[in-house]
Amino acid sequence: MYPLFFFVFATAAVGFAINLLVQRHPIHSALSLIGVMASLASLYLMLGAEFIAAVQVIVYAGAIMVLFVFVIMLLNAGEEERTDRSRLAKYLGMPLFLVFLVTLATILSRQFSPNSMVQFGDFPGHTADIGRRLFQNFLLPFEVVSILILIAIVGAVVLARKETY
Amino acid sequence: MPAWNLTAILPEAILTVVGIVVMLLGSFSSQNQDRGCRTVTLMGLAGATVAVVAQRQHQGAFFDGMFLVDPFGIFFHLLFFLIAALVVLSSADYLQAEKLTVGEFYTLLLFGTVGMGLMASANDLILSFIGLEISSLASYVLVGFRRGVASSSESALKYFLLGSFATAFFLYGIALLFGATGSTRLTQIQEILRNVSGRATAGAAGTVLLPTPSTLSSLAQGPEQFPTALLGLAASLLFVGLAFKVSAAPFQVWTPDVYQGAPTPVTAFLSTGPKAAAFAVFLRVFLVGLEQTADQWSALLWVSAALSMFIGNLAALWQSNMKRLLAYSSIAHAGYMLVAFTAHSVDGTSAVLFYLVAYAVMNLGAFLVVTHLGNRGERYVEMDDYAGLGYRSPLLAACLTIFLLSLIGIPLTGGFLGKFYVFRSALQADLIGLTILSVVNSAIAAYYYLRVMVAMYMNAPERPVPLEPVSSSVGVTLFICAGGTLWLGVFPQSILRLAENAAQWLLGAG
Amino acid sequence: MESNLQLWLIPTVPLLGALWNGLWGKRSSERAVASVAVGAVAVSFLLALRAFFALGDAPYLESYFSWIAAASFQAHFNFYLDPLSAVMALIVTGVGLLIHIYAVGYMSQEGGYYRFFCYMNLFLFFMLTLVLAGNYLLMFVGWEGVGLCSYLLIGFYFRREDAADAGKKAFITTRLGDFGFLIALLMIYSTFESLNYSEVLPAAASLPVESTAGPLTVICLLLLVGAAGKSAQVPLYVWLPDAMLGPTPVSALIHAATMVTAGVYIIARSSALYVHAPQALFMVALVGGITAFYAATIGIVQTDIKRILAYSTISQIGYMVMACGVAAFSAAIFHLMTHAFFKALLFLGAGSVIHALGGEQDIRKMGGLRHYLPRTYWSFLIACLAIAALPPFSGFFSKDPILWEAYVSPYGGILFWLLGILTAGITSFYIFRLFFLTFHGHSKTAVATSSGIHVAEPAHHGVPHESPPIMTWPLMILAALSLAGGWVGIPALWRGGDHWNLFLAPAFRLAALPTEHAVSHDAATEIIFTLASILVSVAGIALAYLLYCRRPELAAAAAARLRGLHTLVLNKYYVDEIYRSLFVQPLVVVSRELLWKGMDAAAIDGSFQGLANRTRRLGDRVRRMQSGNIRSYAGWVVLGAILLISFMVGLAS
Repeated sequence: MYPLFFFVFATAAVGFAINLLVQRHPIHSALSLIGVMASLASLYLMLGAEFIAAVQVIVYAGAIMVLFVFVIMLLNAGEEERTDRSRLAKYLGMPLFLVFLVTLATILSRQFSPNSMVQFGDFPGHTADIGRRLFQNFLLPFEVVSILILIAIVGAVVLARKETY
Repeated sequence: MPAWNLTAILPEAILTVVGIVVMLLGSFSSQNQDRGCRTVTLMGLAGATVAVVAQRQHQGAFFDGMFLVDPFGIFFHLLFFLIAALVVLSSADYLQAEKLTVGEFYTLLLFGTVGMGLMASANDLILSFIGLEISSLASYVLVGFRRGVASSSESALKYFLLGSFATAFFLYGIALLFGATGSTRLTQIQEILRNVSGRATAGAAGTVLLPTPSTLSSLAQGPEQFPTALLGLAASLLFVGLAFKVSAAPFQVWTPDVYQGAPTPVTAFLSTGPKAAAFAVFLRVFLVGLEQTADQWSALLWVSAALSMFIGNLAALWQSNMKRLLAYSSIAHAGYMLVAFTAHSVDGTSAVLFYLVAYAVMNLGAFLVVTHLGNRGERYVEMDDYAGLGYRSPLLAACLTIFLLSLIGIPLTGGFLGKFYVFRSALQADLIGLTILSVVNSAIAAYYYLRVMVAMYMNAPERPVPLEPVSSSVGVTLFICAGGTLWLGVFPQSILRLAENAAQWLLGAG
Repeated sequence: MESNLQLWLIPTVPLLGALWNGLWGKRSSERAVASVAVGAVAVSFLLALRAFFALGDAPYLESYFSWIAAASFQAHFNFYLDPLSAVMALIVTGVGLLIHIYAVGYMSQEGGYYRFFCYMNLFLFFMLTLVLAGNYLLMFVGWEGVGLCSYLLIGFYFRREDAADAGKKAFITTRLGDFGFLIALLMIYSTFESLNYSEVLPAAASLPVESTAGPLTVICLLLLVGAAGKSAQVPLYVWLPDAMLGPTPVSALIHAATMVTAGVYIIARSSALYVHAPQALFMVALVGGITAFYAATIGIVQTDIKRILAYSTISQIGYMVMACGVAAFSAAIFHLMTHAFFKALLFLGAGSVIHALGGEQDIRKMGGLRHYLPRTYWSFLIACLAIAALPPFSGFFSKDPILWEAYVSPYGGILFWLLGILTAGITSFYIFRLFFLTFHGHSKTAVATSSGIHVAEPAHHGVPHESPPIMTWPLMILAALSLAGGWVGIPALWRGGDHWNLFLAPAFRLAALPTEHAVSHDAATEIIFTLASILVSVAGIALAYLLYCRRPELAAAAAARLRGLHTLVLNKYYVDEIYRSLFVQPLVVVSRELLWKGMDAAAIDGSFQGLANRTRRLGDRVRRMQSGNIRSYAGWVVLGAILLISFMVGLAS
């Protein structure tokens, strides 16, 4: 059962991602992104990572995407124009990316024997565990992320604020 | 619960608090808040420095071994604070002339310094990553700080997109390393890899890592076979991320554009601070975490070092824009440091550390002169604008001459001793080919630095370039930089001892 | 020996002079500038003299403070005085003093008077640091410093593009050599655990002679690379002729008497290492011999008075290096000293001629000047006789031992002797060609007006006139030294006391030939050799007299007969061109075409910077700005990552 679901959601994730890139209208792209996030959330769920899956849906598919769509609507963004100025990117971009992907895939598949593959639904990542880990072992990184967020806010203000003088 | 020790992160805490205070100060008092912000920022940095010095008595691992207070981290902390203080001092006039908001600028600078501090002390890749992100995010915003100027915004966008791209590589590398060893803690990874390569008994690897054995860890399953390919992959992905940040070839492409577009004080900061921080992570990850796979990655470093030197120096030969010239020179200098890194020894590591200090002082000084001469709107940053500077402003020209001589590597300057240690460590590690390449490169490099000197002393100005009087803060900074460059060349003792101590600790204690 | 000589004062006084002139010279009068500069050198000379007379048997060491004291590496600021460094310090300060005095007159009424003396004093500071240093690292400080000053002074006439280029060429060429030195220095440390002469030299002396190439040989060869750069030896000599674009006193001081002999000094200083590495020693002799001969042949056909002297300098230094190569170190230093006298004199005399002719440097346009410049004429003649090595001039007493040693030394051989004697003949020929064309024959000064390019040189017109006394007095003193300076080293064969060798012997005690040279030659052989060399010199002079004084048409005929050879030599064997196409051009192509035009300029084009230059529609600009060339940059990153990963994984599997 699980393998079937895996392939369904994995295919969906990849399909939505490609659609995201191909679409010219920002709204379509944004909607595709929701699809990607949702598919990924399902995959996480199958791995037993309920917490991550929930966060994925709430934060990405919920908050962030809503914001995206709002912004796009407010700006009344039109269709994207293609600017293919870079010859390197145009002719070599895709092939390069594929080569990169294949290299990674080969290495990983060679390194892990088939029987050591992930077992679905059998991952000890319960929410309580995560919470405990996060607030004990990983307390410092957790707290420090707040600085990161603060910088992001300050940065957004700095870059977006109107000239006051 | 391991020691919840605030003293370990006291310097970062101080800087964060001061950063918030400066931010509030900047937004509440509208008039004449510049001087106040600057004073508070400098006091904060001074306080953090005191905290770091006090930390020498309280060394150890904190936060579950995630955060290390050790000579290596302390060395870098002091360096970052010095750099930040010099940038704060030197940017005051610039910010005023460009009508930029002082509060946010200093806030971002302070937060960036916090991130750099975390990077230098992090023993856990997660923390390194967050520190890297903090410092990068601050840098992105700082690069785009001149909002009204298109090239500044463009640089920021470029830096942001490419930087995120590179960070993604870094993060992927962390994930794969975790996959291979089951840990993100550098000292643990070192331990595990040592055990595995030492054919230790099975199980040992698995139990150290997590309370519940991870099914993902390939080591836990079959420790007999060393996951070389996976480790190699992880190492190369980490390498991509870090090489990007230190602007080493072949990941240097962004450097000239971003350095040119960024406000000059920010360029000065970028080329010294975040670069040094990235080197700190670089050294920790590769010399501690991946120590066992040295024979793999040292070849990588070799190639990258040689490429960086050649690309940096050769491309700099034809530059006419000072910022772009110094950007390429910065790539080349990253190359020299990588040469010492390649040596993989205590001497090599201390050479990197010493070089970072020398480079910071001389490069900040050089950029400060560029900032000052650039005038409002950075209009005078072409080499032709430096024509005749030797007569119009002998002291400014003399300072720039000291910095350039140091960048060339003339004796009695910090730059010379830096190169000297680099060559020495490379030679001791039998990297004869690489030593010769770096020697050839430093001969090539002399050419373009000399061009600037020729312009200053031997050319007549082609267009009138206004010369602002040197303000006291710029004067003080110039004095510190020039004095520091010479001091490092004549009395390198103290810094050298610190560097050596840090290097010994890093390589010995792991 | 006095307990404290305060050696540090010797270089520091000129440094203070340089600082003074650098800071306040602009506002001072020429007189004040000159007094400070000359005064500083004079004080330094007196101090050097005091040190010289205080010299005892053992080397005298003064250590000031520890420079680098890392656990794995130590170096001090220390000075070292032994007969070798004492002699060098005396030559540097003495000749330096005379040239400074001369320059007071020569440089007057030119721009940048204070700048000139500031650099000159700074140069002396570094040069004295070089010769007095007590360890290799401090020596390297002086070594790099003199290179820098040389660069500044060559480019002194900065309005001349070629002068600035020549400066850069000199700096970069010698820098290539410098790094040979630097690596040698690192290897010395790793072999001997010290850089102090007082430790390295005895340690080297206690090592066995290397029969095959070992660390000592490598060190010595690297030092030779450094020496070849600084002393303009084959193959790194190309910068010196161009360096002549600097003011003439600079050519005399830096590019004839002092800095360029630093290479000889370093080989002599490291003599204890060299005698234990016979293969390196052979290379030294070979490089020296070839340079001596090769540069002399170029000197035959050159027409620029200073260039002839430049090639002559290269050739004479080649002599000294060859002397070192046959382990005749004290002979090399002896020749270094006499050469400093007569070559400085030649340059200053040439400067006097150039000065008198309003900047003319082409000897074909000179002639008959002896009537106008009597004092210059006589002093120049003495210098020519000295360099042609006729007895009793100083050059004879210094050159003869070199030729003799080249033959009898266990490291020498007939080949080196032949190279030496041929060079001696050519030298006397070209120097008298220069002499006759300049001072004899018809006066051609009517046509020789200021040739326009030399704007920065003093431009006088009309009848050539003798230089002021402040310029001719140094000439006469140098003439006296060129005549008598060699008498301190008259060997026993000529009923002399052989004082020179005895005096320098302590400095080369550690370089005593490890194998006893059993071959003894009787006095008769030595006399025959000496007569042969005198004969060759006289023949050279006679030939020059014939070709350029008696029958000038013969010279042209000879040139026409040997046209191919003549063109080849006239163009300096096209070595500059070969270097350019072999080394410079590829670098330029790679950096300019690939990195600059290919990557960098393309990058600018794709960005706002490039677009701003091209002025496009605003909308277009904004849109472009967003895409820029981020994608291609990202492409580069991915490409790099792929290469890296495949490399790593390829390595792993």
